[in-house]
Amino acid sequence: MDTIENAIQVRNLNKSFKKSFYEKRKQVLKNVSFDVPKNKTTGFVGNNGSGKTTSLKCIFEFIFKDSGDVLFFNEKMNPKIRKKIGYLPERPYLYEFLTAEEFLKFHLKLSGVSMANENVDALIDETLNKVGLLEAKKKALRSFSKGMLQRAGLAQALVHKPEILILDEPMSGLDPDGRLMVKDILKEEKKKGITIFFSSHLLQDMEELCDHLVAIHHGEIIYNSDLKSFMNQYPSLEEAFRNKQKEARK
Amino acid sequence: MKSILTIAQTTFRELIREKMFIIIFFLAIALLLFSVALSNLSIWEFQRILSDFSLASMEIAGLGIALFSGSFMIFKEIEKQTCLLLLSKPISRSEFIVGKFVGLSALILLTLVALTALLNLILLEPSFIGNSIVIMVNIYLKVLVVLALVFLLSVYIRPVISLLFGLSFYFYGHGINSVEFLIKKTRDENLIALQKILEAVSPQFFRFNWKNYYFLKDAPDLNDVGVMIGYFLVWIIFLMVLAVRGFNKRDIVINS
Repeated sequence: MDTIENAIQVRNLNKSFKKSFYEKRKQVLKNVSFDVPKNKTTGFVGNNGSGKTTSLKCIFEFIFKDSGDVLFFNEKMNPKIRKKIGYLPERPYLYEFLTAEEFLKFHLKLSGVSMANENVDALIDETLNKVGLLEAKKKALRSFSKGMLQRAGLAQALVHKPEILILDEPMSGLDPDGRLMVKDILKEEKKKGITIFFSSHLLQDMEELCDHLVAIHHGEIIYNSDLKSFMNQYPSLEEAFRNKQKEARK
Repeated sequence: MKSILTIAQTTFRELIREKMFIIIFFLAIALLLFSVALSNLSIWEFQRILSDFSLASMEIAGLGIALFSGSFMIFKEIEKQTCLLLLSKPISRSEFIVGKFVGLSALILLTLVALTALLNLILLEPSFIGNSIVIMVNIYLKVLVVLALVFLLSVYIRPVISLLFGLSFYFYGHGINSVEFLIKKTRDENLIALQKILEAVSPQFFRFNWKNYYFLKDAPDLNDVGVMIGYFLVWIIFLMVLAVRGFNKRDIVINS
């Protein structure tokens, strides 16, 4: 039952780094296991340096895990699975000399969408409209503000209509308007039944958007279940999270 | 293959709009025009001076693009996390790095073709056209060997160091015989052994250094051209295989 409902399953993930030749290896992820339920929005919460980005990078195989398993719809990562995922890393630098349209076309091509498809232009316009960049379609990304760049990054994650959206701190560095827009987009995708998994340390946003929560503290998972149970006895997610951290320290 | 071409096309498009490329390209044209001015100082050696300087400026331009863009390209992709966007898509790391190499190689080719055309326009010597193309191919392949090396090095080390290594590799490859001569004079067995090792692991650019008037007048025979192309292609493939293997195994993390 469990395996059918989860879009992503992470099991016993371990990762250690050695910063320099003379230093000892530092364990960054310790037996990390969690699930991302299908068609739901899952928040990945933790303090800075707790292992959120490292976990995401292990999931995508940008860095190689020491041990553990990551399954997408019960399969290991493969090109077919990658086609189904839209991903936005934390504050990525985009190819600044490309226009917004060229940038999305490039990502569509890499996602395996044929350019002969008549709907390509419509797909690009629809996505740019969704992130509020349609008017800037022909402008080079180097002329974009920080918020616009973040939205362009989000557009590349959405343009090929993925089944899973994985976003690393999608609201980080955005002004209130930008954050609102990203949240609205995520809500819209959630309504469509897209599985969303995003990391953040902005607990208010988590509370507003998530059904499921994964909390990480010093490389260890301290919670992996639905948000409501997590907040059960607490007035806010912030307090619930603080209490979980205290418990973990004990 | 499709992904390689897509990445190559975007790399080319991105680089051609960059200031650094435009600066190097116009510097090469300025050097070429300077060689026209310089050649006017000589009565008898007009064509020779013009050709030698122009061909040298072509190689400098190609080398400049390869060293500066090549050593910083992969580093920037990792540091700025741009490659994460690409590698989350259904493409392999090998396709990514080869695509980047092909894109930059196309830009260098375009630069060399434009400069060769300009040189022929200045020389106005129809019999030189075919030979100038052979020399251009020779310069291009030498530059690609250096590019493949800086790609390989930039997977492991910082771009400035990789740039310096690339430059040293280029000069050493051209001066192996002179270095050998000088080292033999020292009669130091250790130095001689070291030189022998270095010679074995470096491409011998000096054997195929065709960028001068002599080769513009009389191109090397087809056999030599074939050997030259084969020799440099083997080096390029060898270095790129190592670069791909290195990139496939490394964690993509910011080094700073």
